[in-house]
Amino acid sequence: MIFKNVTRLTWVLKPVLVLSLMLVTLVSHATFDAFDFGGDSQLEKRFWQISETVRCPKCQNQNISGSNAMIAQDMRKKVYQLIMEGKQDDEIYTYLVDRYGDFVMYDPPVKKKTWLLWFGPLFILMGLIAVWYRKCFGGSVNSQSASRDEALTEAEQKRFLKITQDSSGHSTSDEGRKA
Amino acid sequence: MMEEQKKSNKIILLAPFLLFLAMLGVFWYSMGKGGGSSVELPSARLGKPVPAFELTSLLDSETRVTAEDLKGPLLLNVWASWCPGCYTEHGFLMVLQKRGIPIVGLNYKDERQDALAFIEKFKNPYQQIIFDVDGSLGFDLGVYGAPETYFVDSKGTIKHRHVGIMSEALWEAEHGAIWRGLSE
Repeated sequence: MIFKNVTRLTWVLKPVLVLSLMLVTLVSHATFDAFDFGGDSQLEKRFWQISETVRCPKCQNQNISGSNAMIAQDMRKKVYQLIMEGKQDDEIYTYLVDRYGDFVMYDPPVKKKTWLLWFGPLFILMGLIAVWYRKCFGGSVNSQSASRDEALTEAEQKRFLKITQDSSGHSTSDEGRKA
Repeated sequence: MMEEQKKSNKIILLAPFLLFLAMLGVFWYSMGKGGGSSVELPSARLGKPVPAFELTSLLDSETRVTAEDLKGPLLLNVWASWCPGCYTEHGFLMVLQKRGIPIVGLNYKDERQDALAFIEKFKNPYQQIIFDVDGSLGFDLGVYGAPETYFVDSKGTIKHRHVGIMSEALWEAEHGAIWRGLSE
């Protein structure tokens, strides 16, 4: 019984552990160029926010803050310029998307074209949760079948009784001899 | 009952392997399709006019060039002396020039001296070269590397963008048809 609970516990904990490991990310900045925000930390914060959420078209798995490709540098410069010109965040995003397309947004708009991108992972996750749930709490059906499997057949019961009776008989007779 | 459970366990054990095979298939497919390290992005400027600009000519810094000068049909070829692919592509651009196809060069983020040396050494396939030293027109076009080639029609509308080196094989396969489509 204890053993059974332990295995169930590990089945519950394993995915939790794996999922929490997935949450660990290593954030990197490629700060090669220094921009002067005149000490305005609010502007600087916006700059980093935008350059971390815009994808580099050349080095396709990096954001423009993490890449030193020429185009990423130019895009950072442009973001800086636009911020200093007093443009709002969505104006800056629109400016970049007009030129480089939806691709540069890590947060692409929900369209027919991007539907699978948005909801595909959700379906996979739901499937995994279903499998995991069945495995852990695998319903009464499984545990019942397990106990039925563990139940002894008539012949086994007779043998079990015989063994236990025999052994108890031996022990008493042993004790009897000793006494 | 026991048998059934064993079966479902077996399927679960096989799942990672099947997933691995599926991913292998996807990667294999996209490798063949991309032919290289990165995917060619569709241009956000397709069907739109060449953005307004005012720059000078590489060969004559007194000459102004604007979007008005880019009424095609013509090819707008983004190049630079620092771009290795542009050396490879140059030969085919000369071929296109001989066939009478007008090509405008967009010298992208280059040094004037280096660009002029390139043209002097390898000959000039362009009818005009726009000197875009800080890449401002390039940025407005959505250029993210060189070479890139834009197919511009008679109204100055961008009809197609090719990222990477153009060649005879590509011209026969797709670019020739796109070019002929520009004059229709």
